[in-house]
Amino acid sequence: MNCLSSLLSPLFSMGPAMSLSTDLPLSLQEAASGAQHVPTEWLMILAALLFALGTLGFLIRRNLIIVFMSIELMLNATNLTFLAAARDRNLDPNGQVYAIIVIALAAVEVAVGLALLISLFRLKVGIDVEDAQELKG
Amino acid sequence: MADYFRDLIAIGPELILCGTLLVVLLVDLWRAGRDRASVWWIALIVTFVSCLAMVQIGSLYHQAEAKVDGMALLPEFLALASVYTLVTVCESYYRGRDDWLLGTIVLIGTALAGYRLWDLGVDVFSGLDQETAYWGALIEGDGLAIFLRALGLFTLFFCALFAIFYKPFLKGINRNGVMEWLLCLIGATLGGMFLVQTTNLLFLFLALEMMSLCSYLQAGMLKGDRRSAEAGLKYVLYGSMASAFMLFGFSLLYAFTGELNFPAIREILIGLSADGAIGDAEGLLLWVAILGSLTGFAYKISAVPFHFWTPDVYEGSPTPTTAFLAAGSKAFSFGILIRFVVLLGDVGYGARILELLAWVAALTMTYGNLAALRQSNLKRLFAYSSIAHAGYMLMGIVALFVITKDTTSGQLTAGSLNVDGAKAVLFYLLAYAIMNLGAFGVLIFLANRTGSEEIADIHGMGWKAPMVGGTMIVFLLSLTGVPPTAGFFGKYYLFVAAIQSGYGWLVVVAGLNTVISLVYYFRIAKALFLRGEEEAFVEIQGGKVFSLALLFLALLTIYFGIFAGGATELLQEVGTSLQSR
Repeated sequence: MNCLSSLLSPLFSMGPAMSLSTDLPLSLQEAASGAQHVPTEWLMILAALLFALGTLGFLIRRNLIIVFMSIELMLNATNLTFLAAARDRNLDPNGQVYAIIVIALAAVEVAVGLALLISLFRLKVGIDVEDAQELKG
Repeated sequence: MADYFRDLIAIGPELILCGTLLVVLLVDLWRAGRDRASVWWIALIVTFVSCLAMVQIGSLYHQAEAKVDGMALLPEFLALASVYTLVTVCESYYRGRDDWLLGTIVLIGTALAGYRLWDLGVDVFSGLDQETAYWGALIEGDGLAIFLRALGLFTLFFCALFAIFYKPFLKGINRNGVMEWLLCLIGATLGGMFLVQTTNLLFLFLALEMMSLCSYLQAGMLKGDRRSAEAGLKYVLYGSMASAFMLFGFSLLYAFTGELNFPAIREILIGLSADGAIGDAEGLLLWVAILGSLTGFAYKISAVPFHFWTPDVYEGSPTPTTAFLAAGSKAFSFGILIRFVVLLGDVGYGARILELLAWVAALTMTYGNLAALRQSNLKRLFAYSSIAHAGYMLMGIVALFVITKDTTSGQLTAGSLNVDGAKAVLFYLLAYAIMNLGAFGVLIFLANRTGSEEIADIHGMGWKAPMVGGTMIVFLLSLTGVPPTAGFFGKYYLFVAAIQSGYGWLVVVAGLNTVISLVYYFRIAKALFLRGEEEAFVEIQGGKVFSLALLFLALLTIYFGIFAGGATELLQEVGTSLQSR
């Protein structure tokens, strides 16, 4: 992790928010630059709501494509939590790197999922959840 | 900026590797359909060169210390190298003919990696390597990691061996036959081997996903088979959901502590609870964070209520995949669960979580055993039996801490670490891997002859293939927990650990469950030997090697059922080393 952070930190330090001073807490930086930020609690609540929405979609939607989209929503809610927490901790690179990696892995997960979906679809099965019912007991 | 370049150079080999991958993909796209072999040769050579470069550059820049870093991961690199060798040979010479060649490459690669791991293990267990944190504390190469990596390689070896003989692979449903499956198997094992070493939330997620994604593909590998495709799809759907829950837990844990490393998280949580800074709101957040994280592990070990994928996926997947899921995937997930519980079990709300886990264990074993009673498909039956065994092993996880209840306030507190809990789980994982690999090997043997996995279709097969039938009896006895088999000692240690930590009621539940499990395991034995008509033994192709492997596993089962002492002494040491945390 140290390696990753130090690898990416020059990139982050080029951002305007960090140009004042990296040692100041975020609230002080805000005061100095006069910028207004969305409070962290709001972001956390938004993330929790998005996550709940994704879970709900996963549970009640029958179309498999929509189900995969719901999973994406859950993962992106997670990203929001990571980024909000990282911003709260003086733009901690750990959380930001985590979010980037989650984005990449979410794409991989959907790629694998869609590949398996296609292999099922090719065998003349539909893409509704109810269509995958060969195995039960 | 100097630091930036230095770090860039330090991870140079990986960057070369990534660049190579991209080049390979691009070139492959460009010359698609013409001659892909040369592309893979390039990939192979560059892999080996960068493996060497990794060790060399490391030693140049950080002297002895970083060289150890490179060497610590050599088993994984060797496994990776065998992936490339496999593809290279396949693309060059193999046109759907000789599965033996491919399998042998994997087996040799596994053996090499195992040999390297043996060296590392000797260092760790003889106490030479006291400092076991590598890659900036991303990886912990302690006894636990060494043991479970060895177990993973053992599983990889036998799964690959079984896959060579598995008929649906031989019939050539896929263009590349067994090759693609072997690639996914090695990938999944590689991910699992990283998983059991890591103490970092980010690396944990990466390793778990590497294992999961390869397992999804393994499950859906028989493209022409509707059941396999359905198994793969169900696995990936529920798996993604579970990993989303786990990630949400991690993100809350990160938001709470601001750290990704387990030891750092532990320190911060201990500090906060000592200051009395964990109030009701923080407590709730922490509770959700830890429960969410545990969801991901519970899904992988198929504990109730995250077990629902298990029967469908076990039944629909190709049988070698099922063997890997039962023996390999489960062992790796239990490994990281032990790490997680050892580090976070006695801080904050850990005691309450452990109390909850005790109920999960009881429910899991009871549900698994009751549902297994009415199954007619052998793979489905073993899926429910695997749920039940996850319940037994959870008992050892729960027993990691002695829970004391304050009679006046009703407050639960987790006491000192019970080393026997870790020892019992690890020994059970070993026993379970051996007997389950054996049982699934027998299923593959029988399915190759009958083309079916129903109990009704194996009637009298024990007489047709006495040696294989005999080994199956040993595996079934061991799964039930009858002496003198490894399963008996596994259960014995689990029960002892649970009683030590004050979970007498859980042991009673487990004892009753063992009796229930006797019923359905005996049904298989009865179908093999007490039904059907005696016929002359007809040998099938590859029967000799296969029978030898099964015989070896059966002997191992009995060996650990009589001489369990050596293994448990080693595992006791592993458990003791966990105490330092």
